[in-house]
This record gives sequence, structure tokens and C-alpha cells, in this order.
Amino acid sequence: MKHIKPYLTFFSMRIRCGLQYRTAALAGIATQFCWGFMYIMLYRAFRESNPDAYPMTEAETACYIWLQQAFLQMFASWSMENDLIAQIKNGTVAYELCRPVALYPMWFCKCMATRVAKAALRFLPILCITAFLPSGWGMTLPHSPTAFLAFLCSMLLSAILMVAMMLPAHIAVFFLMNEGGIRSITANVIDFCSGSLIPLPLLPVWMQQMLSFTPFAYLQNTPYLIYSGYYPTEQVPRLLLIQLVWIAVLIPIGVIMMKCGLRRVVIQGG
Amino acid sequence: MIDVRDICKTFRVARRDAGMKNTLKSFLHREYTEIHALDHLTFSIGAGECVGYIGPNGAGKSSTVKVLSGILTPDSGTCTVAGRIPWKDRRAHVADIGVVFGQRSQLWWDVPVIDTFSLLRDIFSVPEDVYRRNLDELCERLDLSDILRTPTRQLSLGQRMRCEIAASLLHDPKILFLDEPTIGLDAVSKLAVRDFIKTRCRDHGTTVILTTHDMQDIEALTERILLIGHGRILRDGTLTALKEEFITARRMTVLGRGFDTPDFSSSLPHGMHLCEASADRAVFSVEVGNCSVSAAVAHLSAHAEIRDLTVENPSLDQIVTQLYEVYRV
Amino acid sequence: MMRLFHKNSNQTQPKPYPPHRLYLRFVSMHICTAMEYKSSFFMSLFGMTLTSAASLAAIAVLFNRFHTVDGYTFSEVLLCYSTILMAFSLSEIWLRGFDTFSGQVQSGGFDRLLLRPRSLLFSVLCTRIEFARLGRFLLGVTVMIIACTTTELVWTPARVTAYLLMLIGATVFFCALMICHAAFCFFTVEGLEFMNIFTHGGKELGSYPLDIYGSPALIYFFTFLVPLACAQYYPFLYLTDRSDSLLYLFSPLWTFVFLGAVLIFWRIGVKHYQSTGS
Repeated sequence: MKHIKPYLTFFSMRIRCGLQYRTAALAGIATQFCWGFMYIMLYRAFRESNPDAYPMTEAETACYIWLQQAFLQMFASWSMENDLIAQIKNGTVAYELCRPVALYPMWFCKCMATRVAKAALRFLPILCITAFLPSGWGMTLPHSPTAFLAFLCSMLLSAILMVAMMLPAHIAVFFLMNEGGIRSITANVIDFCSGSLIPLPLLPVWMQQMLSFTPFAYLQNTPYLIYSGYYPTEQVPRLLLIQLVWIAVLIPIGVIMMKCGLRRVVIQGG
Repeated sequence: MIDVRDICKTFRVARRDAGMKNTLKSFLHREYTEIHALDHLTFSIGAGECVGYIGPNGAGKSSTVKVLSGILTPDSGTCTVAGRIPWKDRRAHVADIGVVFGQRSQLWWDVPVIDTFSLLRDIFSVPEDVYRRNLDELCERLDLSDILRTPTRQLSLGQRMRCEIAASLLHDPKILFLDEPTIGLDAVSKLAVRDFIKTRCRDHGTTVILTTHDMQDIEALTERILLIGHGRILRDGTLTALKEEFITARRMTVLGRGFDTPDFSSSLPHGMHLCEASADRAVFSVEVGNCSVSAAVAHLSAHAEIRDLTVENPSLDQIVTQLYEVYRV
Repeated sequence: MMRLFHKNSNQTQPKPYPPHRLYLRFVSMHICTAMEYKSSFFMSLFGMTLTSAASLAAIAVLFNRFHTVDGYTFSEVLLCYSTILMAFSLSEIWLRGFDTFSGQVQSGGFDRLLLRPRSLLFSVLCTRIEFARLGRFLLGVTVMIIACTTTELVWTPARVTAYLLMLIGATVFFCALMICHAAFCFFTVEGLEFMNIFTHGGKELGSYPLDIYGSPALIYFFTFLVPLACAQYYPFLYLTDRSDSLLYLFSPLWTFVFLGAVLIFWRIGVKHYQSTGS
């Protein structure tokens, strides 16, 4: 319990920070509504132009879009922890080594807390309001109770996977000393490959197959498609397992990168 | 040169309290408090004067500077600066004033200082010959020749402040506002900055208004002091008058022998009090007006043995603290 | 007496340095500054281009699957997309100072601008010029050339006029939005994310001709309140022979009226700032 306390404090601080900016929160939600509608209208237009080529149902698309808007901050590919980057760049990260907490878990929790806190403020209003929209435009109930349960599990795993993927991007600053390039490359690659630019089922089949060998396809794409039943229940165990495998691969990569990075800092003398 | 009459300015500030509960509460309903930053502020300053503008934080110092420089429009009252109403004709007005914000740089961070200067020359449309003349003079007086080609980000704080001051004087302003010009500077830079301001005021007849927390600045630079508190001028007077009024007692420290006899302490002249005493050291307070320093010294040399003697006036800091107490600001 | 006074003030006030030359001086200063951080500059140039390339790829992917949207061909949509991208990046390059204006207001940097004997719009315009967005513009030009060569349109003088008007109108439109965004900062720096609906949302929506979304309400909104349709949809209909109305051809000029309204709003904002000073 003693070990969790600092993280909880940090988390509540983040939430409080978010609440303080009332207008900002409202504006954010309004913005996300507009984006959601825009995408739904766009995909409807393509669907009407060529219904046979459209792989999803209207309800599945709407579900995907609204879940995406609701949890936008959770999977925000452009959002990086600016204070961590500043620490790396000015060398004060060396002082962190003196603390009795392991650095990677601490950074992991910090990233996670920021994302969860930001998403926590916004997801409920968006999901609640869109639930009242007519079918094909709004949120629907999950495909089945099992699908909902699987969605929750998969959501948790993809959140962890997202942070595990973002941390190496932070740590890369140790080696490049400039975050601008990393930020935009990470953001664009993740956005395109994880289905936040366009839902992955709309990509050409060969591209989907290629992406299924990368961790990107198992970020937001997986839980959202499980929720709406696009991925049938029998596939769920396989999907969850792949998510776990990628987590198990990416966390050690992050830890090792961090070790190398810290060694550089220590050798250079901060 | 500057004439301020009955200027009022009120701000509305949202109240924010600590704690999750209060944060949630203010999310739903926000409370505002009104702050009278300036409350019938009235004063005037003549051409060529150098005036120290002092007061505690939040007293209205920077609001006044903002009003006088045309950034802020007051709610009511009139004000003319160099014959103009600052907020009515902003572009003409700012060409006549120079403003130095101690904590807000106008220098371009990544390019040599001289580039910022020549850009300012064009922004302020300073003719080339005037610019040359001013630049040469400022370089010499502020000792800038060696740092002109250095990018601002590589300058020390003191060097930067000197450049900052030069930057706001390139267009020959009639009035110079200095907002905390010596904040964070080392002793040498402070002296250089003070010295420059003094000569500028004398040689060019520039009117200088100086807001500061540094009492040494005031002591070195200004003869006249404006004390502001709660948005009003509490006191407007010369430094000498202020000292005369507030220096009621001097402190006398004596080293020697024979201060601890009961006979010595009972025979002190009227107006002289013993504050602390040991066998070889004593501290007295000598009331101005009731006991002259020479009378005190005469008494001391008659009744004890003096090896060393110092007389101190209270510092300006102490006077100002006292002033704040008197006016309850 | 009055005349005498004027003469006098003319003598003390030297001839103002011409604004266009002053602007060029700022441009060269901004280039110098950008070159101080070369690697960062090129990284950012690359990153910005990549973002637009990704959105372009998304369009290509959708057309790869569906071939057409609401009767518009791929090259027609590309023409529309590239025009909006060029207009948007032009406004981003030159009006970046308005885009990042909330920082100026919060840090008090705007107070410094008030102390310059120049128009405030001009001063803000000079604060930032973002050459790193040039990549986006060049991408837009490239796509435009591809679209022009693959389309079956014959480039008559009328069509060229329509296209130029469209480009100018869209640029004016996005510039006006940036100034509007900045003017909001005078009232509040919270909740400005809302403006993204119009700026970035306008860019995204405008990638396709506005009628594909199938909502007349959307088109009305973007005609009368925020005139994106005037700079994009109507001239595009004229350009692609879907309409021969001259009103549609000249509708981009309406964006100038929008710009005028925004400038009035800016002035009100400045007045408000000067009376609250926060």
C-alpha cells in the first residue's frame, strides 16, 4: 500500500488539474463530438458510394468512432510527458537514480496516470450522450455480455501496451537529445497503423495482414472491434494472448533501452 | 510631464481554493472577488525628475506603470503623459516612452544583441544618424561593445539587463519606466545600472520612474519617493524628509570598559537608553531631538573607557517597513 | 494653432520605416533563428510533412477500396484536398503568431507588442513565421500537380480563374480563422480547443467536397456562419462543371467579408484586453 500511495496522489493531482479548467473540458468534449460526427458522415458517404466494398456495419462503425473519441486521450499518440523529456534533456534524470524507486515502473505509472486521468474526465459524457443517438449514428450496447467482458480485459491490455510503446519513444530522447522528430514519427506511425486515422478494417487486406504482425493492430483497434462484435468471441482468447505477448516484448525493450540511456548520462556526467 | 488624476481600476478575480471538494465546487459555480488595484490614484511628476515608486506586492505598482505606458485603460480618471492620454493615441505615445520590465525581455533570444537593436531601430523608425549616435553613447556608458555580437541566450543576467536598458533607450524616449531593473543582478551590475540611470537622467533630462523592492536602488537614484498601497498614494515626499521623520533614534555601539556598573546605567542623560551591556561592549539607543550625539559621547567618555564607537541610522529598509506599518499596507 | 501643432509634431516624428521592409527584416530574423537549431528545424519540417502525408495516405486507402465517393473521382478529391492543404499551410506559415497567441497573452509578451509604435495586427504577424510548415505546402503543391495532370478537366481561363479564386479564398478563410482564434485569447485562454473544430476541422472536412457528407445543414453552416463552403465547395462545383453559376465562381470573395468581421472582433478583443489587462 505504501508503494502505491505516491502514484495515487499523482493521479488525483492530475484529475484535479483537469477539473480546474472547466471551460477547457467542455470545449474538449464539444470538439470530440464534432470530430466524431465528421468521421461518421465521411464513412457513410463512402459506404453509400460502394456498399459492397464496406466491411463493417453502420452500427459497428459508429461504435468504433465514439469509443475512439471517448478514449482519445488514452491512446493519444502525440502526447508525451514533457517533464520526463525535460529531465532527460537537461540531465537532471541522473538525480532520479538516487531515489529508492525503480525508474521504469515510475515512468510507466506517470504516463499511465496522465492518460487515465485525462480520459476519465471525458469518456463518460461522450458515451452517455451518444448512446441516445439513432442507430447507425450513436453508441450501441456491446455485442454480448461476453464481448463486453472481453472488451474490458482487452482495453486494460491495450492501455498497458500503449504506454509500453510510448516509453521507448521517450527514452529515445537519451540518444537523440531532441524530441520533435521522435514525437511526430511516433505519432504518425501509430495513428496510421493502429486505426486512429481510419479504422483498420477499411484498409486493403494485404495491409491489414501486414499490420497483424506488428503490435500496432492490438492497440485501440482490438478492444473497439471486440465491443461491437466485429471480432467474434471465439477469436478473443487469441487476441488477448497476442496483446500479452507484445506487452511482454515491449516492456523489456523499454527497460533495456533505459539502462543504456542512463549509462550514457552517467558517463557523460549529466 | 506626467499628471495623474483620480485614476481607478478594478479587477475581477476568480477565487480558487485548495482541495478536491473546493475544486469540484468551483467547477460548478465560480466565485469572484473584486480587487481595487488603483483607487483614486493622483500624483504628478515633472520633466527630468527621477522618482522611486515603492509599495508592497499587489499594491498597484505595475498597474500604474501599465496605465502610464498605455497598456491598460483605467475605469475612470484622467492622465496625461508628455501631453497625451496614453490609451487614446497608443502608437504616438509609445514612441515617447521606454519601458524596461525586469522579468520580461524584449531581446531576441537566439540572435546577437546588435540584431535586436537594429530591428528596434526600424520598428521605432529611428533615423540612421540618431541611431548611430545613441548606440555609440549607450555602448560606451553601459560597456556593451564586447557583448553586442553575442546571442542573448549566452549573456549573463547583468549583461542582459544592460542590453535591455539600452534597447529601450534607442529611440530617445522622454520618459523611462523601469520595473525592477536590478532584480537578480550581482553587486557590480547593480552599481553599473544605477550609475547609468543617474547620468542618463542628468545628461538627457529623461524622466525616470523606478519601481523596485531594492531600497539601495532608491537611495542611490531618487530624491523623491511615491509610496503606494491599496491603490492609493500614501506618501509623496523627498527621501530626506522621510528620513527626518522616521529616524527617531540612532543606534550607538561602544567597545571599551566600565559599562556594567550600576552607577553608569543610572546616570545616563535624558534620551539615551541602554539596550544591552556586557563588561566590554554596550549598545545604546539615542533619541533624535532629546539627546545629541556629542552629549552622549561626552557622557560616555566621562564615565567609562571607550576603545571604539559606531553610530548607525536605521536602514531605508527598516524605514520602509515602518512606513508600511504606519499606513497598514 | 492646430496646424502649428501638427507641423511641430511632424518634425519630432521621423518618417516611419516602411512596414513591408520591416516585415522582410523580421522574415530574415526568423530564418536566422530557425537556422540556429538546424536539426530541430529539419526534424519538425519532416514531421509536419509526414502528418499530411499520413492523411493523404488515408484518402488513398479509402479510394483504393471504394474507387469513388458521391460521384467524385480520386483526382477530383485530390484537387480539393491539395487546395485546402496549400491554403491551410500558407496561413500556418505566415500567421503562426496568431495560432500560438494564447502563449503571448499568458506570458505578458503581448504587453511588449503594445509598447511598439506599430499596428497590433502587424506586430503579432511579425512575432512568428513557421518555415517548418513549408513541407506541407510543398506536399500540397505536388498533390495539386498530380491532380491537375490526372484529371480530365480542360483548363480554360474560366476554370483557372475559379481555381485561383478558390485558393485565395481558402487562404483568406484560414487566415481569418487564425486571427479569430487569437482574438478569443483576449477573453479567455481556456477552452480554445473549440476553435480547432473550425481550423483543423475545416481542413479535414475541406479535404472532400462538402456535399459528400450528405448534410444540407452542414453546408448552410459552412456557408453563412463560417464560409468554408464559399472558398471550397461552390467554386469547386463550378470548376468541375457541376454548376455554371457565376455566383458560385465568385463566392470565394465572400471570405473577405468574413475576414473583415474577424478584424472587427479582433479590435473588440484588444479593447477588452486593455481594459482588463489580463
